[in-house]
Amino acid sequence: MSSHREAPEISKDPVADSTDLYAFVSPDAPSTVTVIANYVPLQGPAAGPNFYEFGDDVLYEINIDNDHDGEVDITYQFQFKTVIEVGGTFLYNVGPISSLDSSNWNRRQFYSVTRIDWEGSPSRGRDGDRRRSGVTNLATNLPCPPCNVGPRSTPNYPALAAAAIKTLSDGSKVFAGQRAEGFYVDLGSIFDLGALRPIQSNHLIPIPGSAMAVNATKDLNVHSIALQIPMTMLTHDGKAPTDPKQPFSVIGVYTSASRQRVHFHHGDDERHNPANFGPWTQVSRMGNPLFNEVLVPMERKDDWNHDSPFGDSKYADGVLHPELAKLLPVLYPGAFPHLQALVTSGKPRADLAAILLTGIPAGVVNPTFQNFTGTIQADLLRLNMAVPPSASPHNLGVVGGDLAGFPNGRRLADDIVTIELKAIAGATYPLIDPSYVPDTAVGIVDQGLTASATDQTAKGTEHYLASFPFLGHPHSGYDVPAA
Amino acid sequence: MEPTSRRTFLKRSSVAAAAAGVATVVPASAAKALTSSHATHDAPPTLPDDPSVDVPVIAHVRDVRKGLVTLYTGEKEVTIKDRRLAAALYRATH
Repeated sequence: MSSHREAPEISKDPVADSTDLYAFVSPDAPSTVTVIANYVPLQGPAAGPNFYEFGDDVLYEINIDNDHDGEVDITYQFQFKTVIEVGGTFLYNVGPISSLDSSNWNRRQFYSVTRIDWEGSPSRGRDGDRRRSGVTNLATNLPCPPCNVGPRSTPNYPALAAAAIKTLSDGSKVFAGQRAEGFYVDLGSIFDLGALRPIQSNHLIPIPGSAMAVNATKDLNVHSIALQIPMTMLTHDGKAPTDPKQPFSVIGVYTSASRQRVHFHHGDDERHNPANFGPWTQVSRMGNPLFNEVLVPMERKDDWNHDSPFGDSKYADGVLHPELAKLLPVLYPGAFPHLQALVTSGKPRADLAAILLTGIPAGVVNPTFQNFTGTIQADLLRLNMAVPPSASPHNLGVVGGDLAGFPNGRRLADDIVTIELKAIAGATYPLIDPSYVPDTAVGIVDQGLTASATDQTAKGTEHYLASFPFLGHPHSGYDVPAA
Repeated sequence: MEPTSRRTFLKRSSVAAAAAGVATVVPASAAKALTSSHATHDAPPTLPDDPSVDVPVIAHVRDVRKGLVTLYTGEKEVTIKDRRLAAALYRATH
């Protein structure tokens, strides 16, 4: 997965499990950036009576570094509150939910949005005494839409979802609620010893012929927190970025979920007391897709989730010498001789470090493009906001020549798994060593879920919307899985 | 407004971090009151007449020998070093 259940500890805590993070210049409002943070993975749509929801005891955050000093400069916080409106029933709803204030809707969620502008300057150092310089409550009691129960309970789901798109006091748009999963992956093949179905006959343990890829997430839902923020509210100087070469056109983004330090299970007579105590401590985070999942060893994954991105230099070895690059020549004998030689040489994968840990410096891809945030190694999703949306998005993003896609931010339809497989297989190494020739096999490394480079449907993720919040309406519990 | 960076706002659940002073230090007067009340079994110190006294507090005895006790209430965490108090809490539970 991208980051679904990617570490042992968080795999047992779904409501706090960040699964995907997207950040892109909004095609429906190009002076804004859309950031989507997904949580609560792998939701089967038929989930009654306790349909999925955010955690009331989780602090969800979207964090922005806009001055490249190795500290978060802006945080958007989201906190949820669940209420029982009807009572006396085991049901999620006791009749059709035709509006967000329907009296038929029993269990509802509301949320608040707070923006924190962190004060400080690089001269104070990474552990300096920065202060919270501004705490702005942008909204309270915003409604989430219901889960998509089915045609009798949520008969006009698009209308319910549209009503849950709200404008914050600073002009940003927000949405929080259930969505169709937008990430696509042939999970079964990836974790069956990397046997990509289209090329499985070349695998160390071959199965004859090629097979159609399977989108393991196509019928599943997720919970999304989506913001559409004017760029002028994200930049270091408050101006709209227009020049891709300017360093501060680039922001670094990550999402995190935190829980209070202590959880207390009260006895029957003390249930009225609070159950959570102490300061918030991070239990999940995500910047680039697949980072913790593929590049961090199993025994360090939980620590990674607790750590700040700005300490990621201690995880850099997994990027510079990725395990998967060592495995590919073994799993596909004879297919990756150049990669094998590169691995044997012990040369660090500076190409992957640039993509995932620092951003790509100017001049590496072309003379004008960069999304470099300095030398501090941090797993951030870096977006050069001066690069406009592509009129014809390429699924492989920058690797496919489309500078508006991953790893310049990340769009919904970017074929993340294929991009990162190709990169690890050596496709991006010529960026830092022009004498390196990628193996021919890199061209056929593809999870096989898109029909072409501009295919935006990806076998089952056709629910993408053309406007905010972009992720499609969730699959209906009545209709999915189909008979 | 308390000095707070995001880094310290989201503290890691590390004993070392707490012991090193990342957590808020309880005021000396409060610590003294806490200790003396345990030590002498005198009348308890005067408490404010407001709802804050009804908010539960969780105590975590981190190291009895060193007297490290961390208290959690609301979103706050306070670590005190009080060997007498830590010993008293130990005795109360053994």
